[in-house]
Amino acid sequence: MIKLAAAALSVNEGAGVAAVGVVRTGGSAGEVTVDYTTSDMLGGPGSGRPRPVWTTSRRRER
Amino acid sequence: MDYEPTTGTLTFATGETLKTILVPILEDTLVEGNETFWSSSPIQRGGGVLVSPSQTVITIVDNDQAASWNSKRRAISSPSRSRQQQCRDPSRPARDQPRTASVQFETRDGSGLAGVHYVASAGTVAFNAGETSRTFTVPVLPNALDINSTVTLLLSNPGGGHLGSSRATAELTILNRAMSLQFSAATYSVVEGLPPRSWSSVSGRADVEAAVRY
Repeated sequence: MIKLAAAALSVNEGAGVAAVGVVRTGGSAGEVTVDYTTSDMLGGPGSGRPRPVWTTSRRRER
Repeated sequence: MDYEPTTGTLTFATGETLKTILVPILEDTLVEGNETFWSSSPIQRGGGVLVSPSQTVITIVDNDQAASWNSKRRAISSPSRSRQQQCRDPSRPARDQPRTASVQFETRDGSGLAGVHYVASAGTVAFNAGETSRTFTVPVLPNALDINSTVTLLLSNPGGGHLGSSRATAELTILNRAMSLQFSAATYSVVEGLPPRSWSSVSGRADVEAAVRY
């Protein structure tokens, strides 16, 4: 199983980079690949107008 | 653009349980408030399982602040010879990165005239890291007019910050405290033998105490 380390994080505009943790749980045998992407979001969390336009996201397990 | 769109693939080898996605955050000088975007994907394929959280909402905390006057109106009294005017770079959050900023200032005639009521002033004030307030001086000239006069103060061309539109200008009021004392006439006449009488008079402000030797 794959999940993100947190549902939300804050980063200062001057920090240069946002580090998003990705965690593999439920065992670590074998190779697991996951694709990720970022997307603009209309409105803030809970605004009812999220627009997560994921384009190439997929998950593969071997 | 506030961040660099990021797409990629993470591969967990046997025994690996933690990876990191790095999303470049782009610095700018706009006062735009905090912004949010999504990271990663809830879509899954094949027989594997993505579990919650499969999305992260990233909030970019804006670190740009507006330069502005700390007061819309200023009043000073003549004959004080000068007055320091203050412009403000609002307090930055403690987590902010130390940076420098600057802003240009200038004076413009209102009812007060440069060279008559004040000395025209212009220049640049710089804010070092941690500074939230700077001052500049507008020399005030003494004059004989018994009226107040105004000078417009302007901020422009911010560097390393953004100009707050609501307070890019301010009005400086020079309160004229000048008082003139004089006789009411150039000559007086009196009939010999009449009781003593005063013929002098004072013109000027009624709210200022003054004295004269005779």
